[in-house]
Order: sequence, then C-alpha cells, then structure tokens
Amino acid sequence: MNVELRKKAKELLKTKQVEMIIGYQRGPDGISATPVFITREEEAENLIWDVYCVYNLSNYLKDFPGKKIGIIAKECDVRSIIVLLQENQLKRDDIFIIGVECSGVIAEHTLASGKESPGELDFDEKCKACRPSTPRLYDYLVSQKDQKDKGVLPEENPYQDIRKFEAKSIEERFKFWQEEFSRCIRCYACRQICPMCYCPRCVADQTMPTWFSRAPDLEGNLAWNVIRAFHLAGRCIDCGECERACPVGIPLREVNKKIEKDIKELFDYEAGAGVDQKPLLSCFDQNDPEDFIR
Amino acid sequence: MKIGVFTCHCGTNIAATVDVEKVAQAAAEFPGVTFSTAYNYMCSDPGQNIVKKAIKEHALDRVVIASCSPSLHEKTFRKCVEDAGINPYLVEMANIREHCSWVHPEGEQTTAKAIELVRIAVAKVSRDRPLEMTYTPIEKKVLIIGGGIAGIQSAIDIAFANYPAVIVEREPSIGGRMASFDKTFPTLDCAACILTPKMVTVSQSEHVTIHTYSEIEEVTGYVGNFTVKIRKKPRSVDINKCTGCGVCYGKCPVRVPSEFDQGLGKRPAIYIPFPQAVPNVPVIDRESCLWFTEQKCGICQKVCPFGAIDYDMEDEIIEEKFGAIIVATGFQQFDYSVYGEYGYGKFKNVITGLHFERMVNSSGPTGGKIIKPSDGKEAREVVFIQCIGSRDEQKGVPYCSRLCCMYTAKHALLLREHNPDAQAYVFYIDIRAAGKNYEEFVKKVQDEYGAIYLRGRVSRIFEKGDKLIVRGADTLSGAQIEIEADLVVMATGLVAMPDAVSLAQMLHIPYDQNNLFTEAHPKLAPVETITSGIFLTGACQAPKDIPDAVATASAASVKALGLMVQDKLAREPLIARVIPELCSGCRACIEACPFSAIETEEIEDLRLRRKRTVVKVIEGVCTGCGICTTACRMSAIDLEGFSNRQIMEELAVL
Repeated sequence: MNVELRKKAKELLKTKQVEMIIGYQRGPDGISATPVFITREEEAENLIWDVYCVYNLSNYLKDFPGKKIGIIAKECDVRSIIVLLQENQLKRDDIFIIGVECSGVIAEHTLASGKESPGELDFDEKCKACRPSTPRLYDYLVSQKDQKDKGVLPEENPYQDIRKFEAKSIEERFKFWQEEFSRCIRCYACRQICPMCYCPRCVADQTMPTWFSRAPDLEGNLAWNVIRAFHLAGRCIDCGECERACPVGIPLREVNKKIEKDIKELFDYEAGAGVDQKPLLSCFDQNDPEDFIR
Repeated sequence: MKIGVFTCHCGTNIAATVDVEKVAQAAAEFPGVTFSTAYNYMCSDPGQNIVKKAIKEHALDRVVIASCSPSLHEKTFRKCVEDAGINPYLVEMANIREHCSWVHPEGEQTTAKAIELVRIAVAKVSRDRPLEMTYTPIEKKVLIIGGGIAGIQSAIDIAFANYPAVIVEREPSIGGRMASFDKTFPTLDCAACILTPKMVTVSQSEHVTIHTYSEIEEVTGYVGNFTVKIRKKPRSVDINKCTGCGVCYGKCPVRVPSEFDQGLGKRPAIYIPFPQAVPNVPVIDRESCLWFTEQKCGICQKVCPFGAIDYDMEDEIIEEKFGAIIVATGFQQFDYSVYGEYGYGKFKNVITGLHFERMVNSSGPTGGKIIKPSDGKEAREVVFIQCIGSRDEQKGVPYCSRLCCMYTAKHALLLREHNPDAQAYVFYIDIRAAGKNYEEFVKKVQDEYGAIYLRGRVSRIFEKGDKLIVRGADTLSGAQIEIEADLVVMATGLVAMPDAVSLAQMLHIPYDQNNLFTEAHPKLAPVETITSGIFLTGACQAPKDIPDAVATASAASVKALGLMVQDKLAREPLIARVIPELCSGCRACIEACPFSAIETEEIEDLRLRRKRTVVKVIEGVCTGCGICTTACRMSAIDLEGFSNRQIMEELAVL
C-alpha cells in the first residue's frame, strides 16, 4: 500500500493539486516513524504508512495558511481536521486528505523496551477505544486490504475505566490528581502538540489579567490542567497526543475521556463527527438537559 | 486614584440590620479610598449633593455608592457624578440592601458582609475605565409586517407623524381577518364599514407604501439599521396599468373555492379577494389558472383594455432599510379537525365561526342567509360550541382565546336578527366577557335574543337524516341534553400562524411554547420585544380582539416613532469588545450570540505578517449580555464595565 500512497503523492505534486504533502517517513532508528514534509515528487519515495505512524499530523496544517496541503490522515487525525474545519482554522479547499485505513498504531513508549516487531509491541491505549476503520472524511483513500482487521479489537465499553475511577470517593480522586499534577513541570508540551490548542495567546500566557499562577506549584498546575481540559470539552477527539508528549507521564487522556463521556451522555455529542456540526459549548438547544438546575 | 465611598442608610432598609457607620469607617481604610461617609438617603437631592460636594472638595476621581441594586439607582448616580465632572462609568454600586440588609438578620456578620461587598466594589471601581456613549444613525422608516387592522392602524399612526411606513402583506389585499367579519361586538358596527375607511387612508397616504402579495425574505441588521429583503410574488397583473375595471375576472372561465369566503363561495382564477380590496388590482392564482396549468385560455389578457395582464411576471426581491419593525402578522384559526367527536371533515353542517361570519354577511356567498351547507336550506336550530381548541391542554392550546365568548354571543344575536324563527344554543365552559359593554352584550343576547346558554361540553355529534344530533350535558341542571340541530358552529380558538417560528428566528425575537411572539415584559413592556427596534401588535403576540389590536398597534407605533424622532441612537458603552490579537477566529462567539451582534473581519496580523480573520462586535446590536465572553476560550472578548481585569480584581480582594 505504500506503493499506492507514494504514487498518489507524486501525482498530487506533479499535477500541482498540492504544494506540499505532510506524511510519515522511517526514522533514523529504522523502526519508528517521523513526520516528513515533501514538496518534490522524488521525495514521495520516503512516504510510509504502518502501525509505527503514531503521530497526529493535523497539528501542522494550520502552519501553512493559504497553501494547498496534502496530508496523510487516519480516522482520529481526520476527526481533529474536522474540528479545525468547524472552528474555521482550516479551509476545506486548501487541504487534500489522503485517508489511510487504520487498525491501530503501536504504543510508542513500548518501543523503548527494545521490542521491535508489531507482534511484540502493545497497541496504543487510544486505539482500544476506537474501531479499526476507514476515515470518515477523505479526498483519496489508500486501502489497506492486507492488514485490515488484524489490529486491535475495540473494547466493549470504552468508558469502563472512567466509570471505575468515578466510583471512588472525592477525596481519593482529588488525591490521585493532586499527585499526578504535582509532577507537572509546566513545559506545555501537551498544549504544543494538541491540534486544538491554536489560540494566538494561550490564557496561561496572558498577564492582563493573569488568570492563574504561572509557577509550577500544585495550585498553578491544577489550574492549568483543569483549564486545559475544560477548553477541550466537546472538541477533544482523543488522538492521545497530549499524553504521549507529556514528559512526566501524567495520564491526561483520563481527564479528556471523562469529559468526552459526560458530553456523550448529557448531549449525545461527539467531537469531530461532521463538518456541519455546531460547536457544542456555543449552542443552546431547548432539549438540553438541565437537571443541574434545582 | 482617589476613591470616594458613600454608604446609604436607606432609612431603616439598610440601617436596621447593617451598622452603616461601621461600614463607612471600614471603607475609609480600603486602598485608594480617600473619602468615606454615610447618609440617610443617598439618592435624595441632599444625598446626591454630598457626593457632588465631596468630589469637588476631595478631588475624587472614582465613586462607590453602597446602597441598593444598580437596577434601581445606577442611572441616578451616573448622572450625579457626571454633573460633578467625573466620567459616569467611573461609579460602582455595592448592593448592600437586596444582597445584604434585606436578606440577613441584624448582626455583626451582616455588617461584615456589607463591608466585603463594599470592598469588592472598591476593587472593581479601581479597574473601571472612562467610557463614552456610542451613537448609531437611524434609518427613518418603519416596516410593518402584516396588513391587517393592527398593521393598518400602525401605518396610519406613523404616517400621521409624517414618517414613512412600509406595509408588507402576504395576501393580495390588505385588510386581514377583519375584512371578512360581518359585524363587530359589542356595538354591531359593520366590520367593513369601519375597516375600509382605514384601508383607504393608508392607501392614499403619501407616507405609506404597501407591498401586497409579498413576504419577508430576510432581515439583517439592528435597531435603526435593519436591512430587509422583501419578496414580491408575481401578481401577473401590472399594478401600474390596471384600473380595476374588473373585465378580466368577469370573463375568467375558472371557478375555485374562495379563500375569503372560507370556501363557501367560488372565485375565478384571476380575482380580487373582496370588492373593497386595496389595491383594487386582481391577482392570478397560478395554481388554478388555465394559462399556467394547461397553457391555454389567455382570455384575461385578450380582454384587458389596458394590457395589464403579464403572464411572464417573476418573483421580485426588493431590499430596503428600516429603523424599526412592527410585527403584526396576526393569527390563524385553530384546526378543529382533531376533534373527531365533532365530525369535522365528515359533516358539512359543522362549520367554524369564520364560516358563519361569511354566511351572515349580506354581501357574502349566501347573501346573508344562514343555511345548511349540505342542502342550502335555511338553518333554524343552531348549536354553538365554545372553547374549540382553547383551554384544552390535550388537543389544543392551554390558553383562553379571549374573544370566542364574545363572537359566539354576536353570532347568536345575528342568527336571530337574520332569521327570527331561529334558535341558538350555546355550549360554554365559562363566559368570559371582560371588556367595556361586553357583559351587557352577552346578557342582552340571552335575555332579548333568546339564546339558550348551556354550561357544559358537547360529547358527540352525529348525523341523523338531515339533522345533526348534538349530545351534551348541562352541568348546571345535571341534565343530559340532546339537540336536533341544523347547523353546528365551532368557536375555534386563535393560534399562531404556521410560519410564526421561522419569522421569529429571522427577526431574532423570542416566541413561547405556543409559538406566539414574546413581549419584553408582560406588564411593563407589552409591545416591545427583547430585540431593540422590533415591536409587536395584534394577535401574533396573544389572542386580541379588534380594540386590543388597534390599541397595541398605536402603542407599537409610538415606540417606533420614539426611535424615528431621534437624530442618532445613543447606545450604552457597556458592550463586548474583541481584542483582535487574542482572537483565533474560531467563531464560537458568533454561534453563541443571541443577537447576531458579532461578525467577522479581516485584519493584518503584524506578528504573523499576514491577513487573518477575526471577529468584531457590532456596536449598535450588542446588548452587553456577556454570553460571548464565556464562549471565548482565548479571553479575546471583554465586556466593558465587567471586564476580566475588574472581575479578577474583585476576586483578588475577597
């Protein structure tokens, strides 16, 4: 399928349908995949797509305003592109989505253990909450006949871990997050890697007023992490990049998933479901639940 | 910064539970406060003079008034400090009455809370910015949607004040429902005789433009500056060439049921709805015209001496600007076919009040004879059933339609006048005759016209021979009633027009669960909507009889004229402002804004060295509600008077 992918990439560049293609190439270790930005046809030979292509490349799209960009995207990446389209950060005509079928990618951290072949490696946690699928939006689809359905099996109940955690007492839960967030070094890697974090100046960096402590102490860390999660409410598509990027291993996906679950249950809303979907938190519907008003 | 704090006793309203002097002493110690005092009534003239004098003597530049809710006296004190030379937006009120003295018992804690409230207000005032009123121009023209009696009255009032009004009416003629009524309760004036002079007045007025056979296509803009697209449907008759001679509709071979006569009579395919129609220009009903359905006939074009028939006429969209909009779209009858027990659709002799109006009208389809539609014979025994659809939460609407009691009484009276041998039976739940001379009228109908009023509901109607058997109960005597009736008249309630919701959404005005338009305040702003510049009149808001419709029409006109007479519109500066450098252009605020007060604009981003789309607030439209500020993740929208810095400052001192 890499042959088909490269052929399509060459064609797009040759016919000038796109000026650049954002995709994956094999990393210097010969195993992992790294992002690659190609503008010339011959570079298309470097393009790959396999279970090592963990990154969500959609974060790069908005760095090239006004340019026609091709992007290799799996289902979760496509959903983040959809949210960016909804929020007017991208123009649909400017991007060409080369969709790839995905049946799960590997958990990057297990690479460090020295294991190499897909059989030995774990699939990423996020893929366990996702059905192996064809992207819901694409301009061209590279099908993966040989690998389809061989990957990870979806969990019956994607929120069962969240429910387990919810069952704990408030004190236990608060203690857990206090411990997790106390390790935060406020490097903002979670923000930098997140496709949805595109604010011209993040509230964490604003000084008039200063919304919360910028010091990496528990108070500031709690505020930052809670605000980050709130700002992703109804927008996070669970690409898991924040958790992967976190250098101190805070389980950020747990926070995101909790909000995702609440929104699904309260409003039957899923982020990135379709381009015409209205942003959840800006819209009012008469049928919205209001049991919280007593 | 020199802040003055003025604490009010409000008689005993505050002083009974709050130690006002102690509050004043504590406030004197707050940072930035150079003067603090207390007085019995700060809002009184002497109280205001204390503020003004202190501003002069102590060179104060910001003021905190610790008294009642800002909704009551904020305006008073803004004016007061302005008189003393301070920008009126550099004053804050600490509400130590509604938020404190009234809701807590006397005691140290209550005083302590009052002190905290003042502390917060002092913190807030320290971050206040001097603001200026903004002004927007006003388009001196009023749009009236609907050309019934309410719309007509509004147009007359506006024209009388020498301001231009434009009526947009969906039907081919103005006149509305009232044009089809026979007499009007309780005076029994002929409806046409009192309506048509008003129709003529508006049509002759140099200030009134009438677009009949037209609908509102789109409304944008805001108070003083509405841009409205009006779709003029093709009348197929050139309104400028036609003289209203009537040759065309005399020769038209088609006959279809007349809408104006509720289907009791017939009309041609080219027709004027009723003889006094304004404009007196026919319209071709393209659904039934042979030229349009079968591409033949064309007689009207041949016979028209003025060449006014134009089969090729197309929809025309005109765009006009208005300063104010009066909504007078009226009502429709409740569709009583949901009452299967009354046999609608099956029984020809079960009709509605509007049918009866046409039948009893001497220029109507039966020439004023009250007949059984099934065989055309005169009806003698007539049963009237009230509250059809009204006061029925299961099948109809929960509200009382207010006028059915009266028009039924009128029908009972007219029945006897047109046929002295006829007998009226009226089934009612309650008789609601609240209005000038209304109760007397109902009494007269019962006493002098022999109408038999039966308190109870009809359980069933069925046909027996050429009669209708009406079964019901008289709950006052407990008797089961069975009447052999010739005709049954349903007093159908008034409900919202089918497209009321889409119009409301177009105008950005709220509507209730019954799709009736909602006024800004049920008592104190009954003809305003919460969208400034848009006013309500007539039955589109709630069922109204003619006097009420006319009264609200004049009320709405005064409100609209209140805008027209101003040179420019002063707008409170307490509105949202976008900080473009922080805006990402995600447009969440545009979705969130209930007033459509936010639009996009392109800016040159100096940091990124490229053009970028951000949003901006339209000054004339923004009401300062603040919803956008909560929708904005990047805090790129700030609300003047409640700015992020002010709120953070308030939190910081707590």
